[in-house]
Amino acid sequence: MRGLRWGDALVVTLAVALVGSAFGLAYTPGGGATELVVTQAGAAPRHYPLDVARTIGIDGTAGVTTIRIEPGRARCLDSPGSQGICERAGWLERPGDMAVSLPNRLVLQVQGPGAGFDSMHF
Amino acid sequence: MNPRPPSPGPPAILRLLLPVLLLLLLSACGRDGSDTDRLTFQAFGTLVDVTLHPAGTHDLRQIESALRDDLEAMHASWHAWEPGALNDTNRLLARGVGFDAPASVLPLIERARELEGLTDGLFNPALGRLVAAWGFHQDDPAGPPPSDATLAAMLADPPRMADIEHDGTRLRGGHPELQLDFGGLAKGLAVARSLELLAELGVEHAIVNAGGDLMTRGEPAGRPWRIGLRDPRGAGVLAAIALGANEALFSSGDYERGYEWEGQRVHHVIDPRTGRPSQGIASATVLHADPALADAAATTLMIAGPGEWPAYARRLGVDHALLVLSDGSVELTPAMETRVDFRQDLEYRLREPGPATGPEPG
Repeated sequence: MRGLRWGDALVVTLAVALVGSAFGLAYTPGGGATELVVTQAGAAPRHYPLDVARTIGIDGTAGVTTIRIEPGRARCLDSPGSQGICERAGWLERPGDMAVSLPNRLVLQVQGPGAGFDSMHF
Repeated sequence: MNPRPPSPGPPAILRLLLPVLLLLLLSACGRDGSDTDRLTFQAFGTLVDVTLHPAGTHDLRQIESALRDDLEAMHASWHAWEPGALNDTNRLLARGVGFDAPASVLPLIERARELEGLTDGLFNPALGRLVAAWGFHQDDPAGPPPSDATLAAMLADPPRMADIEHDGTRLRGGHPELQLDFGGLAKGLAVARSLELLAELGVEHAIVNAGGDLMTRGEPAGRPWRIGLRDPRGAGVLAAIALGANEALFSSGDYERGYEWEGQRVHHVIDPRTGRPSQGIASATVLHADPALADAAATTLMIAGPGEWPAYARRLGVDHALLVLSDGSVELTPAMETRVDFRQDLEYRLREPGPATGPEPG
């Protein structure tokens, strides 16, 4: 039987490298959050890239939820409700981190590379 | 001139290896978390989040409409202080007259009696008046808390589920102070009912999440459901939990409903032994196949406190529990440890469900 020629070896090496890097990208958790997803009852999810520092307001049934966005993170600055649950969630930095405003029927969740969650328990 | 011999083609190893690599490459491409659809809507007094698998195969509008209508009907029937079937039931129980129980309320009463018995009264939905006295029978809970004299009077002869005479569908109240509040049980039964409804609609793989408490139906092909457990102290994700088919995850915590009174946080989980908000445990999380039991067990373990929770876990047949104590430390059962992947650098203590190990610390 003939052995591998140099061209065959090159093809195999490149193929293994391609598959390896694909798995590296797909399955390795890590990397910070890259976007904020705002889910509001009765509306399609809204996506905000976590790139430029800015402050946004989301109108809800109980008032306005104010969100601060900075590169790689976001937080709930102010939201209706006496318990401050949304604000107390602090900075959302890792993919999956979330804050909830029940009075405004809002879920804030940051996402990024790596497997996300099917559902959040709290 | 001799013609060149035909090429033998790539070696056998290469013919075998390349298709395998191609398949592996394709499997990596599918890993983008998009194999589910999500529905988010308001019902049952909270935010409901439904995850459906596989993506793109369900009538989302029909599912949302059916689930919302059903949950709203249950919410109206079971509400602890607004007009509805439970309100009517409480009025008739207080009168001490015999009456036919509303069909929507009877299953709650029956489960509550069973669970009160299993916990020897630590889980007691007959103490609605006590919960109301702490200011929790209103949309925005508020003080002032009841005085020591009021609490002493309420605890002198507290009502229990056993004070309800129950003969088939006929009920009669045997304690004038008895007032039902199914806050630690209703959501479990509502989530169970929602999953039954999804089954009737032909959904085979889903999660119903009502205000953070959830249950699965089926599971995605080739992987478990991935659940993020939010840190009860508010900062991000405490752990990832893998759930299989038909498993419920319920928590009770001091962060859920409450108010500040004279610098102190007053939360909604009331300990029947003291008449006051429970102490020592910030949150209790229970994984179980029965969502109603998981719901009630989470409340019970939180009330039981750091010293007694393993004993009550065993009474209730709970193998999977995770507790965050008021000092921030974490305790969990060995069975729960196998499901949890902590996302924070923390130390935890393993405790088997079993007899109490001594007096409560602190």
